[in-house]
Amino acid sequence: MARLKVLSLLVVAAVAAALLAVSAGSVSVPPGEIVEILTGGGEDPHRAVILQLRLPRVLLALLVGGALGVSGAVFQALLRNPLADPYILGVSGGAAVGSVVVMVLGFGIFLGGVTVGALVGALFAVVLVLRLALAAGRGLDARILLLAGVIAGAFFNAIILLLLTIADAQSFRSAVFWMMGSLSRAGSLQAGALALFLLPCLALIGALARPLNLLAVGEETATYLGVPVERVKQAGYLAASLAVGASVAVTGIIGFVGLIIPHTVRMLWGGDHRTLLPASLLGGGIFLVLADTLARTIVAPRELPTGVITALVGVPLFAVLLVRSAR
Amino acid sequence: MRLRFRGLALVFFAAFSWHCAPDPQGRSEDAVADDLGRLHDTAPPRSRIVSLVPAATEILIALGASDRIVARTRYDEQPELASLPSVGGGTDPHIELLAELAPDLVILWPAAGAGVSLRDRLAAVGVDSYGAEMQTMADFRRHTGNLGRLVGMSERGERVVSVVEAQLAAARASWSGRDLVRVVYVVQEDPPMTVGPGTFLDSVLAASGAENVFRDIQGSWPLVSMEEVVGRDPSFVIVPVPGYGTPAVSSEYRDPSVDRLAELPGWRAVRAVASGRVISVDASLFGRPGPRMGVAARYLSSRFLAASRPADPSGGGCFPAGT
Repeated sequence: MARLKVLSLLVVAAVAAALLAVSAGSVSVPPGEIVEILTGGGEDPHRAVILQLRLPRVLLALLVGGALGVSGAVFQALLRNPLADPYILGVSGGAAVGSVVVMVLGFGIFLGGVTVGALVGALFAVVLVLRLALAAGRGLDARILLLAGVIAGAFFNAIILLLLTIADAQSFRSAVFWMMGSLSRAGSLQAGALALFLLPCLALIGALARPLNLLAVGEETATYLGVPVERVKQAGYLAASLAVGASVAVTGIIGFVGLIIPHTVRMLWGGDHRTLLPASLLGGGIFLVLADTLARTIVAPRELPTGVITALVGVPLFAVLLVRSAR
Repeated sequence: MRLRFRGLALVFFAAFSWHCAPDPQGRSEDAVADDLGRLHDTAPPRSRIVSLVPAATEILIALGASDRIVARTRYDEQPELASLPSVGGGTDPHIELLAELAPDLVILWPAAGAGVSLRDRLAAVGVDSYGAEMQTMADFRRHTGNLGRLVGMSERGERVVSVVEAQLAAARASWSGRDLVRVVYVVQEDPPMTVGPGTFLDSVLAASGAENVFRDIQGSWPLVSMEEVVGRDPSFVIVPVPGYGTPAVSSEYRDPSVDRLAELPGWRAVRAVASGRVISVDASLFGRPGPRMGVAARYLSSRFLAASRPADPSGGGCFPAGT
């Protein structure tokens, strides 16, 4: 019952955040006109601002924030490490290598070239780290997985630095902006494709809530209780990594959401994965929608990269929560 | 992205650079001040020069001093320089190659920290350098004058400046009486970056009969939100394309950037993009505050004219040469 209450509260908050985000922006559109546009009326350019820019962007922020939040929770459970975030196993590094390669080689001019490059890089990283970890141990050992992810990330980092050294000024700037993360390239196509991609990942993660709870007690206990531990770990790793890889491919590396959202949810409502996972999904979405709204409005008509705001606002908020919960 | 704006590359360091205030009073009869706060004696005239700033390279060529240039960067594609060795990029040249060429003057971009460090590294191998941060019309005038004096051609320097100013004035005059064309200039597509007030491009746009819709924004190369571009509803979107050249265009000409921009989420929401009012321009012509600014302004107003005329089957329509 408590879980249902928390989740319905978050759903209401998500809808409210989305409405706020759609109505806020550097171009002022009166609420009455927004309603008119959403119901099929209105005129350009306001119609284009709402339907082609703000709406897809809010949807994308909900999806990406949600994917990062829930993947962070899964990685923290799998690795039994509170410092784990969605990028710790090298997915973002692989995506960054893919996108930077595309930019430096000059293929960024093709539509979606950077996204495809990033997705290929992320998938490569997911498979590489899994193979490394499986080759090194019997089954998927959390410590070995973490180590494999960290060294893969370091290697990708070296490749990025190498590429940036030989890049010209324009590719360098594009790469830096990409790595800061931005929702500005949001379109309804991007949001729709990402939603389709995320759906199976999220469904799989949802099915893992109960096994992850048992896993938290200990792998041995979980095995005795009939949990197929190896399969749960591999499924969790793949589903969370693929969700992160697809999100990063569309928006670049938006930091911090996947680290603080699961912790915040845990502090507020406890560590039961049946609450933690959906609440992290909704909380991540809400947080990213609000952060992106700030990024679009505080220096309007200019704009800040969203990734800057998530850390700049998220860190102090998280610090306050941390101090309060310790009391 | 790399191919799209390579010509503008150096100019973009503006976004990350601080302005080393030159000392206008430091200019005396026999010395000129650069943007790294240093004075350079005008004697003896420099005879072995490497310019790491493409706009300054164009100034040297316009002065008639191309035979004094001993190396080029990978951004300089002029035929006069084709046979010269390349020292690489403008901000990360091969120091050893520069030392071996032993120029008596290197012109460099004084971007934050990097410019000073480059100057010091060059000084360590005995090469003197002149810092030229070229962002505005005033920078163009000052550095053209200074470079003219450093190569012993001060009168030619003044003439280059006055020719460019006359061309810009003529372009402006040819547009007088018409309404200004509201434009946005796309320095970078994602995230959108455009041209702020005071920059040379803002001046070129103004001379061509255009009004930059982001004239009120702080900063030389501001990042703006996509919806602000849509909301300001420019009549034309101007896109620099490397290697595009400046073709004469008739009114039925279809610009190569029209379809590409119309596929980009965000940009396709701009009304001008949706209705095909996109103008490609030569990225190197429009990316450099050099002696071709007058040509750039005149080209742009010819594009506005072609776009405003009804389709002409006789195929004329290019801006009359020599105007």
